Amino acid sequence: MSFALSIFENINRQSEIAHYSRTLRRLEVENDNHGYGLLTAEVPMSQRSAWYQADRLNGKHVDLSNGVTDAFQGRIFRPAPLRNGLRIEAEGYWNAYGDVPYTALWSTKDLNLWRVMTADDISTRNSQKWNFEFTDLIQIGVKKNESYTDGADFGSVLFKMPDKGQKTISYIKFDLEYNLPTDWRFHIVSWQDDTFSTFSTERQIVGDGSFHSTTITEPNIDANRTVLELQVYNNTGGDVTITGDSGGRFVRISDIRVTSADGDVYGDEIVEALIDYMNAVNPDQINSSKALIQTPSVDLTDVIFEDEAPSGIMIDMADLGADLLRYFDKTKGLAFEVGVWEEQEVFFRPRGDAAQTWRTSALGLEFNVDLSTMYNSAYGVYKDVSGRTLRTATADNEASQAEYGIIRRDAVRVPTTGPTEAAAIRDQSLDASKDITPKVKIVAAGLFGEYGGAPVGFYLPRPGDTLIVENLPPTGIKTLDKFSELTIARTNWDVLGRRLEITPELEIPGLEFLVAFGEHQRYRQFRRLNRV
Amino acid sequence: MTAEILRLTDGTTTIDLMDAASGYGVVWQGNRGGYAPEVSNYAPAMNHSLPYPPVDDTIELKITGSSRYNCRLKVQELGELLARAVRWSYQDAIAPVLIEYKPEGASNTFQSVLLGLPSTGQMLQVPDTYDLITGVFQLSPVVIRFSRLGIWNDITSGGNASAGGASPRKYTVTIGGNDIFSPLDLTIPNLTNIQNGPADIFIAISDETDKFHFWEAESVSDTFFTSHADATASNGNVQQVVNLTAATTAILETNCHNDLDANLRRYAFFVTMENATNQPCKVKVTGYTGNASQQGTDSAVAGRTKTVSASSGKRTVPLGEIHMPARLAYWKIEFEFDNNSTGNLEVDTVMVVGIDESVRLSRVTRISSTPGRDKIKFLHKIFDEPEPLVLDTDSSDNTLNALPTKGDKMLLAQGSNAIVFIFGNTSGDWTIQNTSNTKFNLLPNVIISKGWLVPS
Repeated sequence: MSFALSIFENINRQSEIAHYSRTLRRLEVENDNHGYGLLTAEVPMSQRSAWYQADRLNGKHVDLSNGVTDAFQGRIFRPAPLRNGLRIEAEGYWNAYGDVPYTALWSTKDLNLWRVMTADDISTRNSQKWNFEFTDLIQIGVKKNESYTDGADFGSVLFKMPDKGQKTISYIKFDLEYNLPTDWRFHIVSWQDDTFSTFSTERQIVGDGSFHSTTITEPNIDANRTVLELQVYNNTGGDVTITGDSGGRFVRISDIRVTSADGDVYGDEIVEALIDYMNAVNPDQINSSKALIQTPSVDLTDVIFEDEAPSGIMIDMADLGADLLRYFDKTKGLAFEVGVWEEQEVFFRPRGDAAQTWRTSALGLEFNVDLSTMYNSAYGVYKDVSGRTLRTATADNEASQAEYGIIRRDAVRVPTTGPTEAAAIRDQSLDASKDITPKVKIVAAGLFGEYGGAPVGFYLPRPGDTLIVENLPPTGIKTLDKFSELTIARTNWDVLGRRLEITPELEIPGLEFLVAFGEHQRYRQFRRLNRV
Repeated sequence: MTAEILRLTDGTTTIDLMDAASGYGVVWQGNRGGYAPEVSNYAPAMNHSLPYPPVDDTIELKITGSSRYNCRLKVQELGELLARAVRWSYQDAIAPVLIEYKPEGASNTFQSVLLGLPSTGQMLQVPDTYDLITGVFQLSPVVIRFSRLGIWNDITSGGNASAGGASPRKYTVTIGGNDIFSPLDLTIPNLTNIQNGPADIFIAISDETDKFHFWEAESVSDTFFTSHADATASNGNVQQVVNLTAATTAILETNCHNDLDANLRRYAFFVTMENATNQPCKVKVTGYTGNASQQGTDSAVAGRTKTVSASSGKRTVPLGEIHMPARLAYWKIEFEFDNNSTGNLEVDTVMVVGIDESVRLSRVTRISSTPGRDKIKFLHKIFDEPEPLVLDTDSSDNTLNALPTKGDKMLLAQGSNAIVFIFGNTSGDWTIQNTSNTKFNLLPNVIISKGWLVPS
C-alpha cells in the first residue's frame, strides 16, 4: 500500500482535478500539536505548465492517503512554479482558523470597562449631581444640597460590549450594598446598542431608607443586548434635595461580572462557538462537528477577544483551561490540546486522550544541560479589576533549590484579574521549569508499535503520541531519565527519502531534540534545529 | 549484450539504432560499450511508484553519413527525440519515447520508457571530430544517456475472474506467471444504473487470498447488538442496536487467527455501518495477539478512535491501521456514544486488509450513478502518460470520467493469480446494487503487463 497525492476541487472531494504519485520528486509532511501542518511536494513539469498549474491549484484541497490512513489533509496555499517543475505547499485545515478574526466578550470582571454615563449619552443622565468612585468597586452616591428631579437626573454607569462583537450580554452578577431614600430606585437596564433607543429594565430595587447588602444575579438579560446601565434615580413623585452628607445615600457594586453565557464560561463553549462562527464564514474549510470537543470544566472569568485569530484563542483555551484544571484537581493534571486532523474536525481534549505509544532504540545519544531555562521559584503577575498590577505570593520548589544550590525566580505574567487563576498558572509554570532540561540529540533506528514486532509506517506517529526510547537504562539520573519516554511534539516525514524526524516535546518551550529514523533500521544522519 | 532490435520511438519518429543503412550503429564492444541495460534495485516507494525505481542507461553508437552535414542531421534527429522524452517527463501533452529492445536470441521485443534526463551527465554527447572511412563520414562514439523506467515489459496476459458475485467478495483472476511486481489494468464491469449513488468502493489486490478477510457482523460475538433483517445487506441481515446509552458500549469481536496470513503484522480495518442516531458515534478497533480467552493478558493494540457523525447514512468507514507485535489472533470493535443516543446503530460487515508490499489498496469515491456509465477502469498507463488513471466509462468506453481516489492508483501484482477484494456501498444501500434492487454481479477483469528486470 502506498500513498498518492490527490487534489480536489472542493472540500467534499467530489472532483479530482490533479493526481501526483509516480512523478513526485519531493514529498514531505510536517505535523505538529495542532494536527496536519505542512505538505511540500514537487512535480517535474515545464515552466509554462507550472505557471498554469500554480494558478489553477491555489486554494484547492489535498489528500495524501493510502486508502485507509490519511497522512495529510489540507489546502494548497503556496503553489510555486519552478524552473523545471511545480512546488506545491499545502497547510492543514487548522490554519483555516486563522482566516477570519474574531471579536467577542465572553466574561469580564474588569471595572475599567465601566464608565460614568453623561448627558452626552442620554440627556437625563446628569453625572454632575452624583459622586462616582471606581476604586475596586463602583459607588454612586448623592451630593449634599443637590436637588434631584423626579424621574430624571439619573446617576448611571455604563458597560458596552466590544464593537461589532459576536456575543451579546446574557448575565450579570455582583455584590450590592445600598442605602437609598424611600422610593428611590436602582435599576439594571439593558440596551440593544449605544444609540439608546431600545431597552429593557432587567431588575428593579426600591430604596426604603435603610442599608441593605445582597448579591444580585441576573441570568436572563433580554436577547441581543450589547449595553448595560446601572442607574440610580429619584422616583418619589416629586423633586428631592439632599440635606444629609454627600455619599450618605449610595449604591456600592463590587465583584461585578458580566458574561455572554449563562453564568460560568468554559473553554469548550468558546471553542464550539468558534467552530460555528468559522463554519458560517467558510463552510468549505471547516467541519461543524463538535464530536471531539471535551470540557476542561473550569470557569474562565476574564475572556475578551478583540480581532484575534480563532486558532490563537483556541490555543489559549487549551492552555488556560488545562492549567486551572490541574491547579484545582491534581488528578486531572493533563494539559489540553487543540487542532485538526481528519475530516477538518476540531479536537479539544486532554492531551494524551487519543495518544498512541511507539518504541525505538537509540543508537547514539548526546546531551548537555543549560541552567538558563530552569526556575525553581516563581510568582504570578496579574492586574486587579482597576488595572493595577498585582503579584501573587512567591512559590518555591525546595527540592530543586536544594539540588541545584541556586534560586532562580520567574515572574509569570497571567492575563487575569483573579488571584486564584494567577496562582494556578504560577504553580503550573514552576512545576514545568523546576528541573534543568537537557538539550539532546538522539539517533535512533527503526520505529515499532507499543509492543514491538514489525517496524511500523513512518506516517503513523503523531504529535501527542508517546515515544519510548527503550534501550536507555533506568539510571536514576534525572536528566537522562527525562528522555527515555517522550511526548512527540512534531514529526517531519520525508516520504520519498524514507526518513522521519521526530521533535519531542519537553517541558520548556523552545527546547528541542530530534530523533531520526532510517528505513528498516538503517542508521541515518540527524540534525538538530537551531532553536533554544 | 548484442541485440536484434534496439530502437527509440515515440510512435511517429522511430530511430533504429541498429540500422547502419540509415546512418546509426550501436558500437558493440566489451566493457559496457554499446548497450548494457542497468538493472534496477528493488526499492519499494511510498508514492505509488513501481517498486523498481528508474535507472540511468547509456548507449554508445556511431553515426555515419555521406557528408558531415548528413551526420549532423542524424544528431539533430536523435537530439529531437531525446528532447521529446524530456518534454514528456515534464508533462507536456506529447507521446512518450519508448526504447524497444530485443536481445539476441530473445523471443519477444521488450519495451521500456524514457523518463527524461539522466541524474548526471549530458543526454547526448558527440565527438568534435569526424572520421572519414572509405568515403563515409563517421561520428564515434556518440553517447546517449537517459533515465529509464526500472522494468521492461513484453507480453500482456490475464482475463476475467473465475467466478463473479456481489461484493464484499474476493475474486480470483489468473494472470499467468509474473516473477516481479508488474503493472496491471483492472476493469470492474456491469455497474449499470447504480442505485442511491454515487458509490464508494474499496479495491485491494494481492497474489495471496489470505491477505484479506471479511466477516458478516452477525457471525461474530457481540454485546448489545441484535440481528435485524435488511434486504440490501451483505447476507440479508445487519447487527442493530437501538438507543445506546452513554454508559454502555456496543461491541463486535471475534477470533481471527485462522483467517489471515500468519506472517502479517499490519492490518487495515474497515466497517460498513450506519449511525442513524442523533449523536456522533466513536468507533475504535483493538487487536490482540491472544485469542478470546487470552485477550485480557496479551498485547492489545488499539487504533485511533474514529468519529462517525450522527445521521451518517450507510458508510464503509476506514478504522485505521493496527500494527501488531505478533500475528493478529483476535479483534474487537467498540461503538461508543458520549451522550445517550436516539435511533439505530447498524453494522453490516467488517473487513480487514493486510498491509505489506504485495497488497495494493485503493478507495474510489463518487462512482457515478449516471445512466450509461457501467465500468471502473484502473489503467497503469506506464507507456502512455506520466501518471496512472482511474476512470468510469460507458459500455463502449466512450465516456471517460476521472474518478477521485485515495491510495494506490497504479495497481501491481505478481505470481500467477491476482486476488481482487472489493467492498463498498452507497449511502442508501449496504452493497452496490442497481435501481432494480439487484446486487451487482461483479466480475473483475485484470490484464497484467508482464515485467522484467533484464530483457532476455
